[in-house]
Amino acid sequence: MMQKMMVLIQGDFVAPRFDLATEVLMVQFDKGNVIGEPKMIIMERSSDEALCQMAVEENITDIICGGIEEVHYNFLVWKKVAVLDAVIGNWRKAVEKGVAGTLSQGEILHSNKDESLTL
Amino acid sequence: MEKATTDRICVQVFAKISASISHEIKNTLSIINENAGLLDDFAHMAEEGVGVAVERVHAVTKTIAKQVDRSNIIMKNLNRFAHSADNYVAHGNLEETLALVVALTDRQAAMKNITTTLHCPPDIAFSTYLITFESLVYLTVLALFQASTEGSTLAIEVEDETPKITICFTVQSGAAHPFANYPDDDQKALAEQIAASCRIEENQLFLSFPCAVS
Amino acid sequence: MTTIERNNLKVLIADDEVEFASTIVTRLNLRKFAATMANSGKEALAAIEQDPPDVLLLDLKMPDLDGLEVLASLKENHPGLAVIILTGHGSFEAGRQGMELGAFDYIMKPVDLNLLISKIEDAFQSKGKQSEKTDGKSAV
Repeated sequence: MMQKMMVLIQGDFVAPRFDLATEVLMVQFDKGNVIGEPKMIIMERSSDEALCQMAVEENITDIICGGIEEVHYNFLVWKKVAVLDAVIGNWRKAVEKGVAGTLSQGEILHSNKDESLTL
Repeated sequence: MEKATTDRICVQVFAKISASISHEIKNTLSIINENAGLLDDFAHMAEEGVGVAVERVHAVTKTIAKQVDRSNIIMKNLNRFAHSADNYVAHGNLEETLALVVALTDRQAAMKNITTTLHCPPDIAFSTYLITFESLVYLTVLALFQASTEGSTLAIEVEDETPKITICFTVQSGAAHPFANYPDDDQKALAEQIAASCRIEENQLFLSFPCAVS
Repeated sequence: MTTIERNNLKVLIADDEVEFASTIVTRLNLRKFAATMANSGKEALAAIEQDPPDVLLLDLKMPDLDGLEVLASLKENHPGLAVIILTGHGSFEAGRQGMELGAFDYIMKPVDLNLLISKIEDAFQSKGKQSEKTDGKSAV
């Protein structure tokens, strides 16, 4: 089944806070392969509620983010979204691992090394 | 009262109306969507050799046409209200203006099962800050809905008392004091801009304003 | 059109837009559901008392009792009932309240019927799992 991932980013990194993120990357993928071109959305202002709504409207199946409040985390999980939160590091690497299905919650991604440290 | 204050209130009213109308449009689109889907179901059934009565197809297309008409009326009302702000002071026909505001409150009335009636002589022309006037009547009607019990009736009647006009709002409701919180600060600010005054007698609210603002 | 045997899964649609509710009822019934409708919050509660459905599709904005009030009442009196909220605007707040009041999910209008059907089936299955859990607990 095709999946759609939403990644909250800030510069080169996964945005440390869900509620303050304004850059959103959306990637469609299937069995470890990216389908089509990823889409980047810049929000006018940060809003955790707007991000939740966007996730629902866009039929997102997976989210990669940094810190997220419990109420928003619970809401997204309720909407059957797989939330990989507390991810720290380069967003490209996070997307790569997310698409491959090897990224875990709380993972710290080192930009200069291939290895990663899972808490 | 500062113009900035009344402008802010009018923008809030506009936002409220837009939210309500977008909800109504979603409803009509949902009905159209489902009925289009039902036509598709009928087509599949026909393909599979299951007979579909022509009347059923007609009934569906009729429903779609009805919802398109409904959407059109809703959008026309929003468009008319939006154009109220074209001129700062505008001349208008009172009956048409009040009918527009009543139509804009239809959904809220339906939610509380409230019946609104309007009686206004057809030839009363007036000149005022149109969007301010409409916003005041809109907020007044909503406030009365809010204070009324389910199944109430609200009668709006107009008396031409040139050089002023009086609108009488009569509430037939189980609520003890439908006007207890009227007017609030926003309603006062709007009333002040169009030089309107209000008077309350039991279950009636009289809103008087000049036929032409100076 | 898929005609999967749905074993007459009972679905109640509570929505004040009669033409919307009745069309959903027709389309679900064509797909072997046993769907019925209620056009207000109170009507929905009465219908549930009389014949509890397997899944309730609940509009949030209705005359008399709104959807969240219906949900609150169901949480108290029919905690096992699987509820899917239908909403014109999928605001986070309405969704959050629905989640806290125990709704299974919410779907935005206009509805994609295939998505709705898969949600109805998921909701029914989750209800089955829930009652298994409850049965297990009471047995202990």
